[in-house]
Amino acid sequence: MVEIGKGLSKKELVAILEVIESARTCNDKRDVQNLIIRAKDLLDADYCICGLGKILADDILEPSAIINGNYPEEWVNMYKTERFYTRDPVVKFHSRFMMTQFWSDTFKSYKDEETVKFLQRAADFGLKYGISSGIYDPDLEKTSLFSFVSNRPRFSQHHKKVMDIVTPHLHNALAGIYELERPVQMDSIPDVIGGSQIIRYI
Amino acid sequence: MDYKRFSKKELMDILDVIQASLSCKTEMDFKSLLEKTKVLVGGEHSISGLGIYDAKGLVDAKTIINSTYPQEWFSVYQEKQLYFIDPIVIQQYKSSGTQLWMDTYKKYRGKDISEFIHNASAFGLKYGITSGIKSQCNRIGSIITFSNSKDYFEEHQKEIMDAIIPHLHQALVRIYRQLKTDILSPLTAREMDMVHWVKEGKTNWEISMILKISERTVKFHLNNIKEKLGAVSKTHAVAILMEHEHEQEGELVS
Repeated sequence: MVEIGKGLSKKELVAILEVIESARTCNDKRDVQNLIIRAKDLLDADYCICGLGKILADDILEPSAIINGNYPEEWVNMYKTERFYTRDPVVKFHSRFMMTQFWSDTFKSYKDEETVKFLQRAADFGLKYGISSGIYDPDLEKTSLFSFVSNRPRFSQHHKKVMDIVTPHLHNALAGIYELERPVQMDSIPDVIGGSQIIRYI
Repeated sequence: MDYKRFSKKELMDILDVIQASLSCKTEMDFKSLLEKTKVLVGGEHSISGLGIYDAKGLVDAKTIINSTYPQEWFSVYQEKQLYFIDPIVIQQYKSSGTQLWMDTYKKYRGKDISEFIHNASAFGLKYGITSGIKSQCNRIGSIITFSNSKDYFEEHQKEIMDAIIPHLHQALVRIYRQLKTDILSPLTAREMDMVHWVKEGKTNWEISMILKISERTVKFHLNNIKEKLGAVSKTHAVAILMEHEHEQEGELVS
């Protein structure tokens, strides 16, 4: 055996397998929302969000679906309205490299004034340290992105290992419900599920 | 599922099997995956397959991937279509979930079945554990088996199977899809044109008129299509393609 789980505690292995099982049984957006919250707990993060989108020119990943685990709603609304994904360094990095990234590493490469301002606004909402990952889906021609965030530095290689294990399963869950979705218009009102907003941009 | 009941080693192995199933793309990959799983479950031999079923049970075996079953037994099994009298297969497509062979054997009586069990035992296939998943939408079901010459399988092995079978099923379905795609990939655009007009009921002469080519060329293309698809006639070729399209539309649940 390759021993992918080497270095993980029994408690973590149990939690990972529970996340994988939850991912397999996701039928709707609420399930995916619960799934990423479960993954957030596994990764010891404070906030989580995920989305599916298409990579456009200029490293822009245009989201067609966003499922908010527990990001501050005000920030998510602002993010949508002001199209922050066009300047979000995490999204830009993901559209180019598609690998698990520590935000702190990514931010080092984006020092322009506009980005610094954007990062400060995110930090004001407690979204300062994070770990993100996702997968390109050739069938859907879409890319997923999952972000788990904290207001203090806590993510390590150990978290990256866990993230690398669960990301394909989170992606399958998100892509699976997306296939069942009928796209809505950009200006339509977001669905509200359990106090958190599910925003679709198509 | 209560994963806490597994040892840490088992949890690591289950995770390893699940992750390996994600990257399974070929029949060889799947055989390798069955090998990993065999160690985890405690089997000596393993085999798996996909079949079409209806309310009465298995109707047709679509694909069988033999990992380590004795080749002689496997050949006889396929040639004589023993899956239609194999109580494990009958039970799997009649109900669902994980079964221990010994439990299932108690439910089936008859000379044919006794003979079948006796012959399988002679190849070391005496005890086993089998599971699978049945897709409701297109009536395709997987069956995955691990066997042993010793009475090794218990409830604990059933729980391990329950944890991994959905992932093995997904991998198996993915490979089957790929196999079906490979069947069609050799057809050229011109050959696909031929297929279109044959499906429309056109004769060779009519097709030659439509495509402005000789009737001889039409026959040449049709022969190539039959050869590529392993069909005995142009009608059979169209049937194979239509079955494929139907399966594509039905989209396997994974």
